[in-house]
Amino acid sequence: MTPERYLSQYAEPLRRIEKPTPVAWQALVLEPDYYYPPSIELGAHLDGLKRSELLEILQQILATEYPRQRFSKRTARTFLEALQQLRDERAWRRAEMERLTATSAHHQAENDRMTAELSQYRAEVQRLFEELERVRSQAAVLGSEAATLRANLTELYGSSSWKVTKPLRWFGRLGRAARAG
Amino acid sequence: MDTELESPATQAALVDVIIPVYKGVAETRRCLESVLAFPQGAAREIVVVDDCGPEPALSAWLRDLAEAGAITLLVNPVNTGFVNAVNRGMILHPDRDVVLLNSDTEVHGDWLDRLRRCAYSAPRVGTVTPFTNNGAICGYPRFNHANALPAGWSLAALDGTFAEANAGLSVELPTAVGFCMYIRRNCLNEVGYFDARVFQRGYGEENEFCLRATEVGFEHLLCAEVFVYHQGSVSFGEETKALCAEAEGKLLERYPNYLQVIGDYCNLDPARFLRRRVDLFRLAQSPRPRMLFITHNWGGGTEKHVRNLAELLEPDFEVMILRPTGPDGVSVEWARGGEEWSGYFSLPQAYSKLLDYLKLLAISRLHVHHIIGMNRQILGLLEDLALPYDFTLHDYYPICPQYTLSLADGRYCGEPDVEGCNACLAERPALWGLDIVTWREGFSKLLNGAERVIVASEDVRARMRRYIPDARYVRLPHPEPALSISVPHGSPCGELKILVIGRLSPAKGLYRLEACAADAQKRGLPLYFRVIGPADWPVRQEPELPLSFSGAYDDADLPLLIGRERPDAIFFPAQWPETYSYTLSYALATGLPIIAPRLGALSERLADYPKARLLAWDAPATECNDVFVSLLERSGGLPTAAMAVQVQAVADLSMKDNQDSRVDASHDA
Repeated sequence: MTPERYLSQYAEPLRRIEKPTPVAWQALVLEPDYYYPPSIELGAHLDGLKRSELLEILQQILATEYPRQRFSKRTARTFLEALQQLRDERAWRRAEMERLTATSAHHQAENDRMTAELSQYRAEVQRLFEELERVRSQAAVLGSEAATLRANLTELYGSSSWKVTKPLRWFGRLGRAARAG
Repeated sequence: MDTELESPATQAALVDVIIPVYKGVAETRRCLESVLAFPQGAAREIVVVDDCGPEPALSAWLRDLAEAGAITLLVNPVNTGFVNAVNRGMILHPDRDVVLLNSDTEVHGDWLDRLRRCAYSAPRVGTVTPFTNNGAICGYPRFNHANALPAGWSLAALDGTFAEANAGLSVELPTAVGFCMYIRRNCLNEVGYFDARVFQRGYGEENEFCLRATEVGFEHLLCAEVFVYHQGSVSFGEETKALCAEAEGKLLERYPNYLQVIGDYCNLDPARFLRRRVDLFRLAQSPRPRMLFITHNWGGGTEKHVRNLAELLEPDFEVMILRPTGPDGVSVEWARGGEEWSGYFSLPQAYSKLLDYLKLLAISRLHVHHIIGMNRQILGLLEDLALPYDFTLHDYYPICPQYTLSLADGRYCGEPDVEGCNACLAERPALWGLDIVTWREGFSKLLNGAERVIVASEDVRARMRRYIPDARYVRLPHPEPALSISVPHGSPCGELKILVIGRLSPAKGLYRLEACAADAQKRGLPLYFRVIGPADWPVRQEPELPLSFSGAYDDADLPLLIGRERPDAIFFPAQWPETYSYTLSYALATGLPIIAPRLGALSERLADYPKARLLAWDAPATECNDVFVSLLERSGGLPTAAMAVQVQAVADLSMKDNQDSRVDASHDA
């Protein structure tokens, strides 16, 4: 069905729909997290924040979590150690990723090498096939030549001159044998 | 190092707006006229560097402007390259901030004042870049796309929207983007100028500069309240791609982690919420009624139909699409072409939020296309929104969770009784763990509540009526533009090439096709089977069998791909009652013989096609191959006398079979 015809039939009941009541755009704005698919971890958003924003968050956490106590050096150290652990893990993951990338590159190179080798073998097989074909055709030529010669020979043996001269050949062989003896 | 926040007023009194010019009279005129049109709070001097381009008219026009005192013109006697031209401009006044502006940009309003405010919003801001339509990570509406301006939106209206929706907002960037880049003088003083030795012709120089600046502690900001139009690729045209690749190589030599930094930024996309605010501002302005489509996220024909329909409705409606992101979440996206807006709601926690949001969006009508893969809670949405809705049947999901009515091996189940269906479900349990009666009851309610249940073929209507008789079925074949595909005559390799179009699952006939190829191999038939599309499961193929798959393809390329294959016939090995089949439309457009099963919409759509050969849906591979071989006789390509005898026999058989099928098809219709 043509798009135009489809639309005219499909949109028939849609003509009753009225224009929407205007709404303030601010009412439609969602919290930023709603714009990200679940595959992006919320924690990752921290990486996207500016240092000033991170500092502000830290201050808010301190204000709500530790309202009656000072933020001791010890607590700070704990946080910093945890942060360092996360950084170490990230560094390890990056290193692991690089290692895997290198391994993958190695396999790829190996694959390329083997592909090249395979191409060489294929070319070699092709060459051998061609050689075989050449030898076969040569054999066919030689076979045909041999058949011609054999026919000539048969014709010769059947000829009257060959039969008439048979005694001469017999005497000739006898003479050669006597000289040899 | 400056530790205190300086106000723009305490900074250098003047800002140099540096515009390097090479070619493009019309673009450069638009750019300069836009810069000159809007007076700024900040005093600025417009410095144009004419880099000895190939257009004398452009140079003459610039000279006139300079003589009139509108700009300061620096003329290079020979072409020195983009980066040298920019550096010459930046060196001119060594105490001023600068804005580098490409000559194919256009600005609006108090753009410079807004950029400048952002540049002084924090002490260590080195560079500031605005949003643009064509500027990689600063792109709008779509991130990292060369966008056009949204339809119906001028630069003035869009820049005004950014200024209002994102007033005072910014995010940190890993690097500025060179189309429009504000650089504070203290950053230039500490970091130096662009590296003209390495990046002489442009592309990559601003990234390298920013990475150097980051190393000494400067930040780069995306100023979210300014939008600058950027045409892109005017000076270098086709060369742009090669220059970008070359620049990337040079950048990676100096900063091996550059791509990782950019990749991390793109993955996190921290500016997304800023683009969303502008999207919503624009959406709120739209006077068009809003519709919500509900569909799955499996792609294929359903997705194609949903996209086509949304596009058809664009002039008069704002269409939103709701689809699952997994069993515990859905996304809602704005389906208008060129837009990117989408929101994500986790279920069941955010169900109320989703419901309220759809009401806020003033959705006035729903259209359900599919709900497979959806959280069951979404079914409640129809009741909770209490809006009129349509339901299009793309398969038989409402009457069977095995939506193609197929057994595990892909073969049509024959629609057994309730006991048979429940036995099937015991082996392959339905979503939500329902038995067949409960399943059909639930969907009957859903379909009976629809204003229209749209089916693309009579076959679907007849089949569905046996289970849900009271729904208001309306037959509307899918909208498709007229197609015409030119296929060069016959494959050149002396055998019959049988083409199959589309992704092949068991229900689409994957195993049947494999059986045909195996039979052709066994009997030494001159047949070759080629599939444009991938196989869903591994099957034997070349070199073991005369069968090969092209892999995934783009619909837009299909006519070309079909022509390139030079097929002799097209085969639909489907094992289920298809409801429409877009690929059949392509096949029909070729005018080639089509061999298809006498089942579902295929036989209905082929009823009037003179070159159709319909077979029983479960015809053995030998029978299918005999029909293919019979085509050889028609084309006069009989390879052997022995085969001719065989071909004659099967030709008679296939003609008879085809006549029967025509009768059947007319009954169905």
